[in-house]
Amino acid sequence: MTPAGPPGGGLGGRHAPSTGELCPLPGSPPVLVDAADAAARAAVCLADGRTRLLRVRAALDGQRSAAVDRARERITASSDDARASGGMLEAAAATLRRHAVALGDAQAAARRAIADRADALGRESRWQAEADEARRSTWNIAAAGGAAPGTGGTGAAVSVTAVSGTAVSGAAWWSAPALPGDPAHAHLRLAAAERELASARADVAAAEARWHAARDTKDESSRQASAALSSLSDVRAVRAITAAGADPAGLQASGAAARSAVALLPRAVSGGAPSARRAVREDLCRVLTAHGDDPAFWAVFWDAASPARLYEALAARGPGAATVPATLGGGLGPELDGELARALGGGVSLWAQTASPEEQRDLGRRVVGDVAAVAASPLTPAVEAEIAAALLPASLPAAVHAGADDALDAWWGDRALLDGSFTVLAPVVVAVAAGLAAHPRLAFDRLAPADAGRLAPAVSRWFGSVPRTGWPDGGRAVARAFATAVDVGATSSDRGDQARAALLVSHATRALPVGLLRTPGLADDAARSVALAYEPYVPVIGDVVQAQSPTSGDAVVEPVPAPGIDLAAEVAPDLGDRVPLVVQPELDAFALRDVIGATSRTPAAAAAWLGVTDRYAETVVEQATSEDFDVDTGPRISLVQGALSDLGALTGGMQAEAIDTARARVATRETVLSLAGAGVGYLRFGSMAANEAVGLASRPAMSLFDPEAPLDDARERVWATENELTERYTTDLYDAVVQHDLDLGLSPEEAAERSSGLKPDGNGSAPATLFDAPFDHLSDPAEDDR
Amino acid sequence: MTQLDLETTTLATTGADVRGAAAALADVSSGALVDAAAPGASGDEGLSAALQDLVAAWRATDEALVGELGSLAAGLSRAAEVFEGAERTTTHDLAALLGGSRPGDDA
Repeated sequence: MTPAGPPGGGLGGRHAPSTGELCPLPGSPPVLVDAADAAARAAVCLADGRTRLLRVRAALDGQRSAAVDRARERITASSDDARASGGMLEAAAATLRRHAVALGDAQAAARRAIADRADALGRESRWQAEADEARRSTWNIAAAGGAAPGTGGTGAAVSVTAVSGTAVSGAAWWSAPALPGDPAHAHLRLAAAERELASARADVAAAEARWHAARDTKDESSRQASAALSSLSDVRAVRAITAAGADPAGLQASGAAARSAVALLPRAVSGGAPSARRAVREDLCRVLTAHGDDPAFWAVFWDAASPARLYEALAARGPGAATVPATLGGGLGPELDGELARALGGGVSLWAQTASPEEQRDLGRRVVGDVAAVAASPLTPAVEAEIAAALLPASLPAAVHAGADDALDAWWGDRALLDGSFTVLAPVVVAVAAGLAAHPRLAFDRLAPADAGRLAPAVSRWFGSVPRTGWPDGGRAVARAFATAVDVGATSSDRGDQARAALLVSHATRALPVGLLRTPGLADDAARSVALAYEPYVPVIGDVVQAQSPTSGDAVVEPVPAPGIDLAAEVAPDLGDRVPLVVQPELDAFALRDVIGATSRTPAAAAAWLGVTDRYAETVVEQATSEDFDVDTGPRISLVQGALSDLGALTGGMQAEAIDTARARVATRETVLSLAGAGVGYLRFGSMAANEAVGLASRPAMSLFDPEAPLDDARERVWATENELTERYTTDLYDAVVQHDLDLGLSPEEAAERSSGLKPDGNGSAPATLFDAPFDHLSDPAEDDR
Repeated sequence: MTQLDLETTTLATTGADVRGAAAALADVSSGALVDAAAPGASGDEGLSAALQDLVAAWRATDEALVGELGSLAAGLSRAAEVFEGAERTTTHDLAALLGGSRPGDDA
């Protein structure tokens, strides 16, 4: 922006000083009005054109194709530009018109002042001559010995021809009784001339003052118009304010407030007394909060401010500035004020509406990069990460989160796990994860990258790591990002995308139990997200468990596979492509058991897995009773038997946590008994303190003579569950298939015969065994299996 | 393909309006506002500079917009001509005339 010139400067400087010639004020109101009219007309044309274009865009709504999408995007972009440009022109027109009126008024006033001054100067000149003449007359009379003033004596004749009647204009001396030559007459004449001279001079001064006032009014109007037009030169701010449906005329105040806020940033960090800096920070918080929904404010603010300066200013980092403002909280665990956090997040959202994808990505990178750069420093208040997280609401465009993830990736690669900054930055990581979850394609690209070499590190960071204090949101965001990425690939018709999702699940199955699922207080929502991510892969889980189980009869036990995809996976033998299957992951059965167990700890979390198993059972029934298998029932038997195995594995895995807890109790009891006898005091065994464990061991129900009691109890409960589930699934599937055959018109005997391989004849029957074997293996594996 | 639900007269009118908007914008940004920025018109150096800055700041946006509106207007006018009397027109046909199609796109 070019600053407005000083009042009276530049062209204004041609105005004459008070002692010189006054000039008409420069400027052409008609030209300005013409420009205003043209701008207003163009604004109206743009608004009309935009309205019509939007109707055309609406007519394209019914069709989705690359061409239609591009045409719609083109119209949208032009409409947005037309709205912004039209808004600017409308506001510029109003400014020019207002200034033209003020300029016209000032010029008229200046012209009048100039005319009045010219007139007054003429009178001044004439009365000056008259006074001079009167003065000379007085001297002549005195020299000739004339009477003293007021005595009526005679003296030299006084010429009055120099004084016109109009110029005299009622002067007292004209009608005075004194006669020419009378000294009194001469003095009266002089006095009158001097009075008129003074009056003329006063009129000159008044006219000059009016001219100066007119010039000042014009200068002030010019200054205001310059400022208004300068604010309209901020294209981004105009875009933001017009996109929000607000009047660009308000942009000037918003821009001024934003520039003021930017100016406060350094003052809140250094210089002045600590109390003064704190006052500045509080002012800054107030300004930011007050403009939370002001698009123009944030457009101007983020053009000039950087995340780093904002963190410094709000969090009061550094020596002598360690006091966190009251609005940001204080003490050991400062928390970001909710209203300020909403304002910051909303501000970035408003800014992003008018930023290019490159600018969005750059801001996302800086938001994370600026806080990551200092996260390891003990001088960095934790609230800085909260501020950064507040700047990254999930609703921001994908490009912002892509940039944020770029910075996160660089930081993770550097030193995150070594210097403790992982825990400090946890809120930021959660914010980025939420952003990925809100943008499925981005989540897929980042968490299941096409470059397989980048996948393992990404999985390790996102799912195999957990901050020391756990994820602040209970793991919800990271789990949702995982489920979102898997869903994109698994639901894609592209086998390449399916393979990427499967590879992600393969790697994540090993990482989750030592990372995300280890987070203290894992939220039920997080467990549910993880469970849902495995839904596309349920059809092979039974096979996976059986293949890696040492109890699978004569079959060769396969080693735990390395992470990868299983292109040979099939729902069941002989099905061919009658039952479609997405690309499946190679799964580590033991890691899978840990995943299922850790995500089934609470009834609410387990409900997600039960939903998965129920939907799977329904799908299998639907497939098994389709006409594809009405003639050749062999593959149908394989399909249902395979499903029983899958269901057994899943529901068995859900019992793993109960058995593992019981095992831990048994181990604790045995250790306590041995150590208590040896007089060992308060040690910690697993998750149980020794004093707690001694109390447990001494309860009457936990007989010291039966250390296996907790495990026996747990197994009893799990077996009861197993029996119930075996009965339920084997019966439901068998009944559905038989009923279908009955519906086809077969006799009950024929229907039973066709499904004899599925008949649930209680424990030990083939279907029950198919269910029970993987159930047992995942719920209660032998000690030496792992 | 979805049938296009726009009259050819609407397309023609829209094309004319959009063309008019482009012309008005071009006129004002290179004409009236520039005239107003002349020292003799604004009467103030600061104001002249502010007007010149305004025009300069919006030049790229306005020039691109003028070009884009002109192109859309041409496409709409062309669509009005081509679709006149056609038995059936689709949204894809219009999108193609509005510059949506690229080589390799499926119709």
